This record gives sequence, structure tokens and C-alpha cells, in this order.
Amino acid sequence: MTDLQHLDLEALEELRDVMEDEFQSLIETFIVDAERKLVAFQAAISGANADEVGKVSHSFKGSCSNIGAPLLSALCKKSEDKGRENDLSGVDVIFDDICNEYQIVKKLLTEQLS
Amino acid sequence: MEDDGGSLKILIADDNETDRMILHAIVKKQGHAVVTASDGVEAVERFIEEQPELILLDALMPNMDGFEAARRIKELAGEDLVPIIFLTSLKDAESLAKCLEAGGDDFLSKPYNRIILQAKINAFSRMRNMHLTMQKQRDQIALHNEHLLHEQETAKAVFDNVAHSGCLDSPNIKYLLSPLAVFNGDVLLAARKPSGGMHVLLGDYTGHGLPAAIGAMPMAEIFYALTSKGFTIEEIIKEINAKLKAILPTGVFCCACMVDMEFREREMKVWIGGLPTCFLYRSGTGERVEIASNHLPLGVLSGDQFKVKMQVFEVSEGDRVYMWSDGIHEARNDQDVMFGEERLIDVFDRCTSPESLFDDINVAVEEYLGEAERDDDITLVEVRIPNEREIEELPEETIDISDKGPMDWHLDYRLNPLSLKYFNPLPFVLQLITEVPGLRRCSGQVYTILAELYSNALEHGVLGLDSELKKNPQGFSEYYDLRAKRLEGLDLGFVNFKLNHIPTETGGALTVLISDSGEGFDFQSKLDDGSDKQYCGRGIPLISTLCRSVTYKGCGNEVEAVFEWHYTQTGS
Amino acid sequence: MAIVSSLDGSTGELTIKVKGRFDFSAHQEFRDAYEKVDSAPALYLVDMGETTYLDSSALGMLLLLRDHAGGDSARIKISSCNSDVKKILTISNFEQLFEID
Repeated sequence: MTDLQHLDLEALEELRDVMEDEFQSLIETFIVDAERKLVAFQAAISGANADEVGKVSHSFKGSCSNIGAPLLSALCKKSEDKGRENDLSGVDVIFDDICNEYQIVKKLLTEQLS
Repeated sequence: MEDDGGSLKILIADDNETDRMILHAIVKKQGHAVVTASDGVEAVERFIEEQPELILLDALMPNMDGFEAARRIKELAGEDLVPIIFLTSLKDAESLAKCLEAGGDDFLSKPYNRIILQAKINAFSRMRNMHLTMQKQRDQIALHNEHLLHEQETAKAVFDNVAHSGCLDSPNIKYLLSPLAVFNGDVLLAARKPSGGMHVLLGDYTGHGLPAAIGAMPMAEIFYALTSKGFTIEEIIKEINAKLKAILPTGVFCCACMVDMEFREREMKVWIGGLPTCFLYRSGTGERVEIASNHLPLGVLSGDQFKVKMQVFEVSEGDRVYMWSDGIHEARNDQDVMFGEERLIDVFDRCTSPESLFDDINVAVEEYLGEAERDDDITLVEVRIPNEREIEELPEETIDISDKGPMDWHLDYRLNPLSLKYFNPLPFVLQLITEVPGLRRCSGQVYTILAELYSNALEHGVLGLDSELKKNPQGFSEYYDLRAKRLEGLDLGFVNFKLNHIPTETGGALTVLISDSGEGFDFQSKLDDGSDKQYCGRGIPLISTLCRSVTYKGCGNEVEAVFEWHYTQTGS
Repeated sequence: MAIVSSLDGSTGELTIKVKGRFDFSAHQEFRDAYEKVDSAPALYLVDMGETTYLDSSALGMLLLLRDHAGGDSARIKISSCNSDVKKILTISNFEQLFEID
């Protein structure tokens, strides 16, 4: 897992190419959306709602993979599996990892905009 | 951007805003119009409003998930092809199966790959175009088919008016004919002859549909017109062949069987070309006589090559003749084996009651077919020689009575060898006589009188044929062979008609005086002993019942018949 | 291919071999077999050795061939018919128009 990149620059270049003028808006939207999801994630863990943990993880996993954040996406996959298996043990640890990784990705993405 | 199917309107339904944005950008860049939705409910709404042609649908969405949305959209789309590509990174087979079950056509996993997405959109666009073409062609075919059926109905109505003016409903006829038989190429015609007998014609044209039906019209017209005017079976079959040869393209022809029945004379003539062997079933003995095709079908040979040679049979009351097209013989069971002639013969061999033979054949074919598919082109007809009482009750031809016309006239008409060889004067003479107002309804009797006296004059008088020959069945064909031979070689002789009509208070009186060039005969002794009634009898006893008087004159080569008719008489 | 034809250059004999069911579906192929011949054959041989079934449209096709080959002056032989095929030809009295064996 540690082999995975924080940010896949090649994929990101491709995105920039596709999105053209909207690239900045895409990154900003990702960040707003991601933070909303992390809040929901936190709430699901507090409420011990395994189903919700799975769903949020699945959704976040998808957007992370599309934006070119493979490591973050892989972490989401771990919590998604947990949620699906209805086993929330250790999810708080994974969530912490996700939050940390997200901060790295966010920083790198923001750099891309300048 | 290159594409195969032109620009499409594509619905993107995904609850992830970034995913939606990325897809939107990719799809738009490929030249398509985009409609978006952020959950299942919205997706269905957008679908209804915008009628997109392709849908990219996320599986897991709030409000309504992609599976349910897919189901609803597919239902709304009906028979139109609206491809749904599920946006999912679901990896397990169960989830993928769920997508397919809900109506999904394909998958696209995250992260989205432009090239793959484009390939999928293009593939579905092509599929969609094909589907549209297919729908259009199917609708066209359905429309054509509807037109065709309508045309066939119209054609059938016209044909029925022409063909069913006959006497197929006579009690001595049983038949099986599909309602659309004419489009299978099968034609069945029956008509009373002025002499009281009957003509029945079964035809089977090559091919199916309108091409097979087209020849049936002139055939029916000639058949009915010439039969009612008193033309002989030979003349009618010849005329039909000439007509069909003239109008049908090479390769289209009509296998046919025509029978001429003289009920009172107990004689049957058959012309058969190309149809399966017909059967004559003798009710008295249970004997089955095969009448095999001995001619080419109608419409193949030109007039000078066409042969009208008849097969002649002596028949008895209750005898039945069976004609069929090859539909029975070729009816296939579920093993694809044909019914064939052997099984047909078997039905006759097992027959215990002639009355049920017709039904026995049908039952045998039905049982044989079992569960197998029916072609519905079985044509079968049974014609029975009726008894005296039935003959009286058979329906007459319907005839118009006009009230003005020739009432008093005289005609002297002599036929010399060439005319005797090649011309049948009876239709002409009958037509002339039936111009007399009110006499037309007696045309049957008049024809019988004319026909009997004329054939006596020609066959016994001019050709010198001995009626004794016809006393036994074998002699029948010998008689007709001899008749043809002598007629062919005729270079001397005549038959003379002297007709005289006068009006009376209640109708009229027709005097027919026929003389011939023959040696005559000792009419006095013939009339006294009445011995030869059964086979030939010169038809005199019969004519005597119709006429006020029948008198032989001279040396027996002259005969005078006086026929009286009344306006009130019913005709028989 | 249900129909195979070959022209013998030395005898001028065109052999048309009909395999399987001879019915309307063979229409175009049968026609091509005698229409797409460079020189006019002196004799036509319709080989029915492998013909399993014959229907009335096939009879029509034979009449078309006869017309093409000169009508009454046509020289056409129909050979090697099985008993079913022969029966159909006999019922239609085609031996009056063709040499059948």
C-alpha cells in the first residue's frame, strides 16, 4: 500500500486536459465534497452505523480514484470492506489514516492550482 | 471528435459531484449533449423530460439507487433501445449480476478512462442505430403486410363473386377448401350444365399468393360462361388452356382435373393434367378406379399441341369421384414424413360406408398430422352421382327473363363436314333459341333435346357408329376412339337443323327437325321393344317425356321433336 | 451450393446437377446455371441423381429452361431421377416435353 502514490500526476495531467477551464473548479469541488464526506464518515463511526460507513467509504473511494489519489482511494476501500462486513473494529484507526492522507492530497492538489 | 453515431444526448446520474463533473467534461468533449442527475429519482425525472439516448448511471446513490432507476427507465423506454452503462467499481459477481438484472447493458469502473468510455458510447450508438433501423423496417414490414392482407381480402372478395356463382353447395358435392385457398393456388369450380349434368373443375396453380391466384379469375369466368352456354367439357378445357397459355408467364401453370357428369346418362368424362391420381369409388362394389393424370398441366402447351382426350367412365347412382390437390399427399407429420398416396388408398380399402368416405379421409389426415403444423392448403372434393329424385331437386341456374324478343321465327341451318369436324353448333343454337323471352328457363330441357338429337344424327347417322358398342363399359372408350377417328376422316355428310318457333296462348311451341346424311334406321322396331334404354337408347325415352311429340321420319335419318313451354312452368 | 453446372467443350453438353430439394429457393441458382454460359449448349442434361424432392415451382423452372433452350426444338435430358421425383414428373406428363430417364 505504501507503494501507492499520494497523487498520480499523470492522471491529473489528463484531467487537466479534459477539464480545461473547469480544472480549478473540479479541484475546489473535490475538496468541499471530501470534507463533507469526512464529516459524514465521522458521524457514521460515532453512531456505529456500519452500513453508512460502507456507503460513505464507497462514494469517497470513487471520487478519490477519479481525481488521481490512489493511496487515499485504497484506504477508503479498507473501510468500505469493513463497513460491508459489518465489522467496525479498527475503523477509527483507518479513519485517522484517511484524514491524514487527505491532508497530504489536499495540499498537493492545492499546489497544482497555483 | 470522431464518432460513428453522431451526437447523442447522454444522461449522467452520479451523486458524486466531482465524478459527475469529470464524466460531463469527457462526454461533452466527445461531442455529445449532456443531462445530469445526482440521484435515482432525479435520473428518472430527467429521463422522462429529456429522453436521452444513453445513460451513465451510478449504482449506489441516495433516494433511489441505480438499480431501481434502471428498472424504471427500461420500463419507460418500452421497445426503444436506451443503453444503460453502470458506473461502478463493484467487483463481486453478485453485484454485477444485480446491475444486469436491473437492465444494465455494460459497466464502467472508476477511475474513468476516456478511451474506454468513448469506445463504449460508440458501440452503443451503433447498436442503437441498428435497433432503430430494425424497428423502422419491422414497422414497414408490418405495414406492408397489412396492405397485402387488405389487397388479398379485396382480391378474394372479387374472386369469390366470380368463382362461387356456381353450385358448390349442391347436395351431391362435399369439399374441403381453405378460405384463402385461392392464394395457395387452389381453385374449385362447379356448375350445372343446361342439360342437367354438372361440370366440376379443380385447379392447382404453381406458387403462392397473388401470382398463384391471378389465373383463377379468367379460368372461373370461362368455366361458368361456357358451361351455362352449353359448351362441352372438351371445348371448355381447351379454351381455358389457351387463355392460361396466353396470359401466364412460362413456368406458371395450373395442374387441373375437370369432370363432366351426365347424371341421367350415367356417364362421366375426366380430363386430368398434373394433379395426383383421382379415384372413382363405385358404391355398389367398393371398387376403386384410379384416374391418373395423362396430360400436361393447363397453360403449358399452345393450342395446336394441347390434347383434350378424355377418360370416359360409365357410372352408377351413388358412385363418387374424388379429386385433390397435392396438399393431402404432401401433408407432413411431426417427423416430416408425407401422408402419401399409400395412406390415402388405405382409407378407401378400409371403407365400410361410402357415405363417410369424405370424412374418413379428413380424419385420417388430421390424425396423421397430430401435433404437426398445418399448412392449411388441403383441397379435397367429392362429387356423387345423385339419384333421380335428387337430380330433380338440384338447384337450377338462375336466369333473367326479359319480356321482349323473337317469338315467331324459322331457321334452316346445315352443317357440312368441316363444320362437323371442328365446331359444336349446340351453344350457338341454344343461345338463339333462348333469345325467346321466357324460354330461357327451359334451356336445360331444350339443350337436352338438341344435344341428344344432334349426337344421334352425328354419331349414328353421319359417322355410322353402332350404339350397341356402348352397352358394356369396355366398349365406352372404344366407342369414343372410333368416334374421334371417323370424325377426323370425314369428308362427306351433313347434319341439318330446321327450327321453328311459334307463340301460343300460354307460351310457345318449338319444333326441332334434325336430318342427317346417314342411312337411317328401323325406328319402328327400336321404339317398340325399348330394349336399349340403359346404355344408349338414343336418349329417345327421355326426350319423349320432355316433348309433346317425337317423330322419326323418312328412313330414320330425320327426326322431329315438338317442345311446348308455358310461362308458368317452373322449369323441370 | 445446391446447383452445380459444367459445360463440356467438346460435346457442347451442359450438365446441371441439382442437389437436395429442388424448389423455389433454387430459382436464381438454376437460372444462372444456364444463363451464364458463354456459348449455346447443343444439349442440356439436368442431373437429378442427388435431387431428393421436386415441387411445382421446380417444374416451372424446367419449363423456363425449355423456353430458353429453344422451346419445342430444345434438347433437354433429365436423368437419374429417384422414384419420388420421377413420379412427380410423370403425374405432370413432362415426358411429353423432356427426355426423362
